[in-house]
Amino acid sequence: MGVYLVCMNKNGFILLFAFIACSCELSYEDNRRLSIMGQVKAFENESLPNFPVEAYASGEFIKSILFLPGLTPTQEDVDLIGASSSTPEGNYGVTTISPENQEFIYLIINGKENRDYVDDWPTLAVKGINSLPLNGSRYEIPTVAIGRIEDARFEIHRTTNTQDTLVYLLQYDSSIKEINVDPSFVGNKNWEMEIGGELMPLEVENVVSLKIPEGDTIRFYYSLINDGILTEENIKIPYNLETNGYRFEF
Amino acid sequence: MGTDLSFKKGILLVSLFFNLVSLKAQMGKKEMDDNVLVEFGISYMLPKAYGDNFLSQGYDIRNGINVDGRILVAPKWFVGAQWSQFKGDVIDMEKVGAIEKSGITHIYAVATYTILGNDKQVSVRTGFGAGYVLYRHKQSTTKFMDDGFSVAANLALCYRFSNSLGVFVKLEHYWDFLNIDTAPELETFFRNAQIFAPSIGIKVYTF
Repeated sequence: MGVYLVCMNKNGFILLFAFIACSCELSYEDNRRLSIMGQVKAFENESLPNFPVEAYASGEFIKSILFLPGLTPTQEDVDLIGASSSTPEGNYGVTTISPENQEFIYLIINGKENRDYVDDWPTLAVKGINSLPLNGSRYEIPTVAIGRIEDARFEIHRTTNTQDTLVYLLQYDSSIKEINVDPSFVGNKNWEMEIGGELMPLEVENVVSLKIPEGDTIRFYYSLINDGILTEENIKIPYNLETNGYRFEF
Repeated sequence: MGTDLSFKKGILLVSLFFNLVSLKAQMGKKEMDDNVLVEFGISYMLPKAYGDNFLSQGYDIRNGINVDGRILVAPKWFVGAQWSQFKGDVIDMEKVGAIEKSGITHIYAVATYTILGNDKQVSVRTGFGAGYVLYRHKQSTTKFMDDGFSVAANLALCYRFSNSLGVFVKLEHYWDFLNIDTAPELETFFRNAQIFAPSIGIKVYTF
């Protein structure tokens, strides 16, 4: 909340003095509650533990009493707005208070800081909720996948190409998985883990050990090099249930 | 758990009061001035929410205070105003959202009918109130509120031990109808609250 005073002297110079009466922070609507509903789905539809589900609102606010446009730093304000837990079928519904000046609303499912955190399962950060349509004070979150964190292998096999060097980068989520449900989101996903390496022409295979939620897809960026980059590609490699892992052949 | 215990203690106190008044009334009646024009009451209340609503399922309700003032408008009929306040700590965030605690205020216009006359030491009254309810919530550092319409009904047993002073117990019930917008499946849960509130207090009579 601020009061702005604009003064103009006889020579036409404009001075802007802006003062704010109090610091700004997240505030909440009177007479309103929101419902955030959704489902987490296990790999192969197995029964799930009861995950804690927390809803947060956040925003950037000016914290200084004196506000000078462009000079006063802002500070992030994050509030817990509601909490619940999921059912064995993975359904959850969080009743929250209703923020009125937030930038983001997001969910943390199975957060590590929560006392009900379930070991061996990843934490899901579901972002972009406030970009979804609000129907009758209810956000309906698309179903998101979750899998138990397991040991898996990523195998790279040289089959037909015998002369090029393979340079690769694996990107995947291990214990924290970020999901943006904003349909208009075009930014890059933040991957928790990255492993890079190369396979020289005389090497026929490389095996990388991973800890990854069962069923998750891996992002695989690679280049084939031989006196310069011949091929460059960024692909998704799905989980292979039979081999309990991932495989790339070239 | 703490609230349940204090509520039971309150009920015990109310029962004790009824027994004492009944005993005193049997021992002998003292005639009182019957031209009471105005009376004021202040009481300590032990509210208890019940039913399938956010207040009963999400809060540990603390004891509160009830203040009222009435004026005689017709034989046996008083009208006036009543204010009450109590607080509640959220014990189940899953039910109500991330609220830390709330202060609940009721303000009513009230009408009271005296079943037993004012000239008696012991009188029994019943009353009805209609008015406004305000839930002021505190979330960490921020405050916001819910409000709505509320009605109340009560039954009170009063004992005057002098012309201008008395004690009373009151059994009161509040029905709150809040203006909360929420998802359709939560509307009933958030828009209605029922509170039973016995109280014990003192009354001042003026003529």
